[in-house]
Amino acid sequence: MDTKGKMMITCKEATFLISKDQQDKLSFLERFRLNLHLMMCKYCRRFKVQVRFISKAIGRMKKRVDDQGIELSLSEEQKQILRDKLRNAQK
Amino acid sequence: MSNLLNPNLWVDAYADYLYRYAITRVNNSEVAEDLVQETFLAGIKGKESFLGNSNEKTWLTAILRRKIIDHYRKKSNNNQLIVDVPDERFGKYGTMNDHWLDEKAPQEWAIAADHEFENKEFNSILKACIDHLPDNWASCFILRIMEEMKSDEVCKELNISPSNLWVMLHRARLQLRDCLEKGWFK
Repeated sequence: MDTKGKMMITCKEATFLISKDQQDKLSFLERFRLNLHLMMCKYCRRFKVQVRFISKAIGRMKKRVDDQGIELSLSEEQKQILRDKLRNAQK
Repeated sequence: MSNLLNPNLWVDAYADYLYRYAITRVNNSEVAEDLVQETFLAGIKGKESFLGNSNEKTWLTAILRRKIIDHYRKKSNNNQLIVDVPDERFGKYGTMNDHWLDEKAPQEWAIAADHEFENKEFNSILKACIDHLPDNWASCFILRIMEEMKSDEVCKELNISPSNLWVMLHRARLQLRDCLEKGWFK
């Protein structure tokens, strides 16, 4: 993204920065440009809220499955196959 | 200390846990089964490297995690770098150049305060949307966001530059957002 020297960025650039902000640190200048754009752009403000919502939803989903994904398990048959393979591998 | 390991008990003690760990990250039961099996077999082979300073479960999980990363590394084809492909969400001409087109722009979502997170149907749509990401973006997205690897680690594993990682994660988010809007908020 070539934004050297300009303060006004496009929606395409702003959404990229919103996205980047989810996992990496924005530079001072990036944040300044983004905030300036957000003050003027309803769609990018929505995009920001929604992207954060998605991150949160994924975080919750991940945590729930790690904690108590009880409904997921291997069948007894699959386990027996695994046990046999492990026994053979140790011979 | 390798006498601490007893592979004959692994299946009963850890198979379900490892299977769940794998399936939430690869989203495919057959692949998950294979990964669990490979993990156990690698565990038997590498028994000598178990130092006894972590427990069996942690040790096996670390092996599985490595297998998952390899799985995504194989899937991601870094010849296909999408850096600045045209995006039909944004305008092409004049003052609208690179700004949201009204008909493609984010619509207002009626988010019912935290309600969605507990909703099974919502979560299955979210999962389906992640599943539908193209392999390249999915590899970046899963390793960075689901697996919570550091950006530089992901770049190293997938052999891509940081700016390519950002672009692919961004593309993945744009698509996830569209997918959720169509699948749930409309």
